[in-house]
Amino acid sequence: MRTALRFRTVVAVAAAAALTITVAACSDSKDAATGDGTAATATGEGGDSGGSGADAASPDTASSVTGEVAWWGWTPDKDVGDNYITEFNKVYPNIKVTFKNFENTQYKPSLRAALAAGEGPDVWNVAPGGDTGGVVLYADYVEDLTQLATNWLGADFATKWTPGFSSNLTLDGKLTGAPLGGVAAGFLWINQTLFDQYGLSAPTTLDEWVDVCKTFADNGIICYGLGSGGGQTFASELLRVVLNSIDPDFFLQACQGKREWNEPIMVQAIEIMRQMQADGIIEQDTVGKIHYPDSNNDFMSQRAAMNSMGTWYAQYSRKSSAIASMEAAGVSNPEPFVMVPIMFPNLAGNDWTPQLFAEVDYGLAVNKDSKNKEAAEIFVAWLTMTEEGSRTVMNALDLTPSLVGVEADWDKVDLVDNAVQKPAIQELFGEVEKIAQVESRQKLQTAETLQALVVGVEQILGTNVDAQAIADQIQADATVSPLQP
Amino acid sequence: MSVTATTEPSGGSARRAVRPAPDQPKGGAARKKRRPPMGAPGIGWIAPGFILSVGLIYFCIVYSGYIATLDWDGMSPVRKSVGLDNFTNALTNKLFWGALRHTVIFYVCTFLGQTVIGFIFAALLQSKIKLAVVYKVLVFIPVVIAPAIMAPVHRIIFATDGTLNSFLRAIGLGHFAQPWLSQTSTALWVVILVQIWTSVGFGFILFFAAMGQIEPEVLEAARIDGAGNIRVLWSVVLPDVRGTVVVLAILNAIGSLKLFDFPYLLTAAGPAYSTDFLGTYIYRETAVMGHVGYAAALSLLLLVLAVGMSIIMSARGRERDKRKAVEADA
Repeated sequence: MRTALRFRTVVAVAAAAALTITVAACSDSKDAATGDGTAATATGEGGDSGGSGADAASPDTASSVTGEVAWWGWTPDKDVGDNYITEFNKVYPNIKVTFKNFENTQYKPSLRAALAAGEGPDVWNVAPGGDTGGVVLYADYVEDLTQLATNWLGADFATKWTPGFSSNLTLDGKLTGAPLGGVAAGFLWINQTLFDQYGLSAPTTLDEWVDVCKTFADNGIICYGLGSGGGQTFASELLRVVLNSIDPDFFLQACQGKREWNEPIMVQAIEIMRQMQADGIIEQDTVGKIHYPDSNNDFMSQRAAMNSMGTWYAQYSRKSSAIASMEAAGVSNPEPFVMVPIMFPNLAGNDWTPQLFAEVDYGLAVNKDSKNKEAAEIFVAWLTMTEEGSRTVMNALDLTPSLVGVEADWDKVDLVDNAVQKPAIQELFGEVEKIAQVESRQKLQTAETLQALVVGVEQILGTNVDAQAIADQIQADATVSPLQP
Repeated sequence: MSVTATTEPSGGSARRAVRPAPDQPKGGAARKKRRPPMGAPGIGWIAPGFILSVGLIYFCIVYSGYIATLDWDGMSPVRKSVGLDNFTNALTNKLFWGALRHTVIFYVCTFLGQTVIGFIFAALLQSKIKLAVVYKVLVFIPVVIAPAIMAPVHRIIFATDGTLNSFLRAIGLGHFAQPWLSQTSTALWVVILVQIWTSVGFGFILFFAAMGQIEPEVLEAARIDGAGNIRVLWSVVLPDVRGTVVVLAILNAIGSLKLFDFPYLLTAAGPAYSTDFLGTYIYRETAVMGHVGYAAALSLLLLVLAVGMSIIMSARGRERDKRKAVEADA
């Protein structure tokens, strides 16, 4: 009798446990829906503890803080991130930071799942918008950093950063991330070593570009590495450049709904891109390649002579980073080459060449449920709000630091060819501060618009679909979500 | 029930040696055979696993049904109820029907490829050929290699400057060289081809096992009746392995409906959705677009399709069995 009772008890407990596990496994916490945060502390999903940032870390007490901080991001490269941490630990040796780098496409799924499960990192990257790190995707989980910025930079902290950087990371009055730095795109990186080897100059017109590409093609070198496949947005950046070369205002206006994506200018841009492909500037199988890693590897292994990456690519001008990235691209015993930025050639035959576009690249958010919040805030504050942290960022040549007026410590920057690369990079980075846009492209583009442009570019460069039909489709997809047909 | 009794030689003490018969339980014939308990205690033992597995599956289905009525990004505390809008939007969305069309094409082609090639390989290797074991291993190896390993290799093979095009140019067929993965007209066929290459080994191993079960006398009789190789395969072997064909049909159908790995790894469902399947579509809507409610509706539609297809195939199988039983009786 006693045995039977015990057995039944075991069965009942096992059944209850199984049911509990089942419910817990499937549920994503109802409390998140209520927004009251009562259960959120336990699940790590919410809660208002510290959400206002009233008890934010202060520089006065920072030196005595200890803790372990996990930082997730799709950028920078692992070695650059680890270098930031090394420099940080010279000042705050008691705070251990680990950086985990994700492929762009894996970042959002991984982070969303971790945050939803209450196992998110203490610090992670957020961007003004876009599909990877857009602040709106994670806003419910981040600490408001207004008080932290006030503690470290003063009440006028926004003026200490490049204009637009903090406002683009602010959502509903909440500073979701401290801007780490700015980024610019819409220009080309060229392998100067290869250009010199074949006696070529940087092209300034479309015709010159065709000639350059013919020379490279004759020598078995890809002229312009551009991966348009894999759902990445790099090729749609080229579309933006082409559109800018026709009408510099169109792209952002179309993002805002002030212009239509299927206007004649879009058709003209599509035809220019197709002509670039027909002329051998863009690869025939560009849609079969993914920009990261395929086209990146082509450039870093010197199989391709040009690439349209942004300012973050400047880091590979440094010998150590160049060697690391060349090895990652499959080159054994690499000899680093000289890469320099150039503006796009005049693509539409107008009187101007397309200008680069710049804005805040990303900021660092702090998990409002972090168990090491103070340590996490100190790490974020040091990188984004102190001169020595900002100089560390600048020295990496990955971003232009958010804090205005910070120059690189050029003596510490091991460029492959100082005489050629230093002035080119200084000029490029100087431009970012000047032209950083208050209206963030990342913020204006919805996931639907991004997807529409990505698929549109795949159609432009991978099909014979009529240009107007592609433009019409972009217009339809960019404005229509599945719930609002 | 026999009991063997021996009697000691006279003069000795009588001793009875009792040995139970092989069919009698130890302890004597008088004891009743105890039946293993099959009542409540048995159910108790399986209850945890039963509740865990069934609860996990059915609770999640029900929960997905709830999410499918929401406009929700999967993270936000704001969940807007939209009724059945997600379902109607899915059924009127050309991407959904495009994914379904690709699934059908994929299913037909991979099933035919796996069945025909697997059957031929199995038939060839049933005959006495040298190094048969080596061939078996070679054919089966692709089945056990992870798609994540094979996909990058196939991306290299089918690249414009890849192995296939280099081979075509080397043998003077350079005009057939294509950017295989970059064109909407060829990308789906590459995915299908890779899947066939991967799955032929599985079809082969099932057919090989099934063919091993055919009575040699049946084959011998067919030979005596003058049947050639093709005739034997068509009229004797194929009817006997029809069950394997049905199994492959069902497995391929399920695999096609939940396909994700190769389209995602080879082409990321592109270019321009030309290799989009229900699995990649659901993933994109969930992880990339953040339309979790809509993706849940898609998942339920996928479930309905899978269950419906299984019911139809099972029903067809039962009809065929009944028909065969009637024929046998006649």
